[in-house]
Amino acid sequence: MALSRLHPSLVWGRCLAVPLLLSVVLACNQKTQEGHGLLPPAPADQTSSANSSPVPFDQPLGNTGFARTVLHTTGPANIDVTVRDVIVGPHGEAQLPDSGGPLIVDLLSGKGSGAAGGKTLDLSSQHPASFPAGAAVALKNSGDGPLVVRLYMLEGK
Amino acid sequence: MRRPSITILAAALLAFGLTACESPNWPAYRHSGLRQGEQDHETHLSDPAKVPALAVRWTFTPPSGEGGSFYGSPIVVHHRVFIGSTSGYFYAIDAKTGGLIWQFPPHGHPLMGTCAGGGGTQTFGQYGVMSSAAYFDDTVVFGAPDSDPATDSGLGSGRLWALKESDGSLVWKSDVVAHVNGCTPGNVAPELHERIAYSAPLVSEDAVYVGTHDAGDDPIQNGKVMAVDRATGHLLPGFSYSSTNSRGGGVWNGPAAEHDSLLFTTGNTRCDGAGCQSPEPSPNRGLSMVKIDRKTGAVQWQFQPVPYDLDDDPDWSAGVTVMETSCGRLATSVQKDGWTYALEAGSGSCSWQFPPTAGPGCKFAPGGAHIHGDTDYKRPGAAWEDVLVINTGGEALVHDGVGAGYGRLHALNACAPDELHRVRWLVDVPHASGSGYSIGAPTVTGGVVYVTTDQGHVVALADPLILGGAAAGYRCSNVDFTTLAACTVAGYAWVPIPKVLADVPLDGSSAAGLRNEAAIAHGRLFVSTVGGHVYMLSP
Repeated sequence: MALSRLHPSLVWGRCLAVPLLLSVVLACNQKTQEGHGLLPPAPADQTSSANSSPVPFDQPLGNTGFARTVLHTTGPANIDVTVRDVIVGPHGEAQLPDSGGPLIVDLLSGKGSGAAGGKTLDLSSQHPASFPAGAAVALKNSGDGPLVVRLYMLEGK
Repeated sequence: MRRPSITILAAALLAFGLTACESPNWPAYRHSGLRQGEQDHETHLSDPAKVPALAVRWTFTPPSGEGGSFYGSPIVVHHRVFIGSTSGYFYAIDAKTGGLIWQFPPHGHPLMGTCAGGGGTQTFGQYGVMSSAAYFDDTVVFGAPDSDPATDSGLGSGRLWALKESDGSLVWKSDVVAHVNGCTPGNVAPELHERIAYSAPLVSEDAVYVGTHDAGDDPIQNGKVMAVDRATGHLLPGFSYSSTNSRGGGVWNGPAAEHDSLLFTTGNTRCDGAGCQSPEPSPNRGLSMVKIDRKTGAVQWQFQPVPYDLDDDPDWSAGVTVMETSCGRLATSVQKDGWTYALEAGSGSCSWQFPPTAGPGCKFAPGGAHIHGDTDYKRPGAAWEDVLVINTGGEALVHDGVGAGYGRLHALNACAPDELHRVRWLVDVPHASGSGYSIGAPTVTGGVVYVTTDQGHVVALADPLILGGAAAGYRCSNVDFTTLAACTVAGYAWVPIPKVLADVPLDGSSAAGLRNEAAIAHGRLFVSTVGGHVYMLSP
């Protein structure tokens, strides 16, 4: 039946019904993706948290590094053993204090290197880096995220 | 007869359009085959002004002498709640009143084999109904052992059970999908200790799918996905998936549907109650997220971030949440060691890992110190468009160890422009002990997140977006920094703490410990407890 022979109200009905049905079907098949976006930044007065940490990174190392002591004990043969965690901000550098003994640096996450006495070692999670006693070690973060390392320091009494 | 006017027709179509794609029911574990844990149909439960009035409206307790724990989650269809207990009974409950409508099977004949195995929840054949159900065609389906002596001597081989929604009569019991043919802990194949236990069935097109796994790694079983015809319960010809050529790779979760494929995660393959396997099984699809063809079971891709050398049993227990985001379709999940992954659902390539530790491809290199052990990140995440709400290890995981995220919920921006913006918000869930298993799988509706705790509370949180940006406070995305200055210099983000809209204790305090999700249907919230109760809450 030709469309022109239909009663005008039926023509309107079909004209309306078809797009409406199509829109319903499309709406059901294609969920609108607004995503919800990112949240706005914190208000200027929100600069500290009420939440505390039992093991905070509370020891600054220069401008971009932070440390905490995880363990300090006396091991066999009267050797002091200290385990510290260090975080260096993206593309930052942190100078470690002289440990007075050999130092082992174990990469936990991120990308970076350790340098002492003109020698630079890339840090790897599979192969911890070691430095001799008395070396002034600088940690350099070469990545866009934090560099997280665990230090094992041994010092004879 | 007078024809309906164009206006009425248009209004009816618009009304249909507004409601057709949003079901107020909760017909499957995590709401649907996408396992998003999201209720699109917004009600008072998505209104932050109404949620603070949330309270318990009824409590259901199984009939005297049945008892048991509810490890599975409720599903809700047509104002009826369906759930099974570890005692081997399955119940239909009136969603409005909490009254029992029917149960299956009758009292005194539980779905329970004779094989006790390791005892507790790790029995080989006596685990009852731990599986959350699924709904299709006026039918509810779930997995449980069969006590019939004609089935592997009644030890407790597992089947899927399909019941009529209206009266609980049996439509079919499937062919056996999980075999138990011996009861000696540590015995390996040909003795089988397969279970359905925690895996929720998935109804997709003409089939019902379910995963199988072991009991307490004693020993690990060859993980499988089984498929049965949804009309008859018979095994689907031509479909086959198993994780290894020996044992391991159990499928502990409910598979998710993704177009013509299934997505799921798998358990460990290396060591168990029978010792350690050497050489590595081949294929080894353990500790992986896997995508298979739903007709054949053929593997389409596999993502295994923790290699066999580092397999200290970080089973992948949480299932896959399929996210439909503004940056594409993502398959997301958290592994038991606390790392969360988002993969492109089509290709299986890694979009991101959180925390971002492993480097390109999100895979850990063999060797070195590691913490990929048997820990407790076992709950799937909830998807709210680009936002994934999940219990995960967090930024502190790499230096604080596996417990860093217990008791916490993270909201992650799935489409963040960079890793710095990955964490959207972070909260220590109140009335959660902070140990493993301390919170259930979150669910979400309209930006209100619901989560259950091991201390028997139901907690509602508001994404700051729905409160015009308002939050309870701010903190560092790495919880070991407490000031904005140190947090940002160290390379982390200063993020909101969402407001708690409601924190409702259930009767029985810690005995009411909740392990699973709060189902959201028809403006009501339904939760089940290890203590053996089902609760309905509403504002």
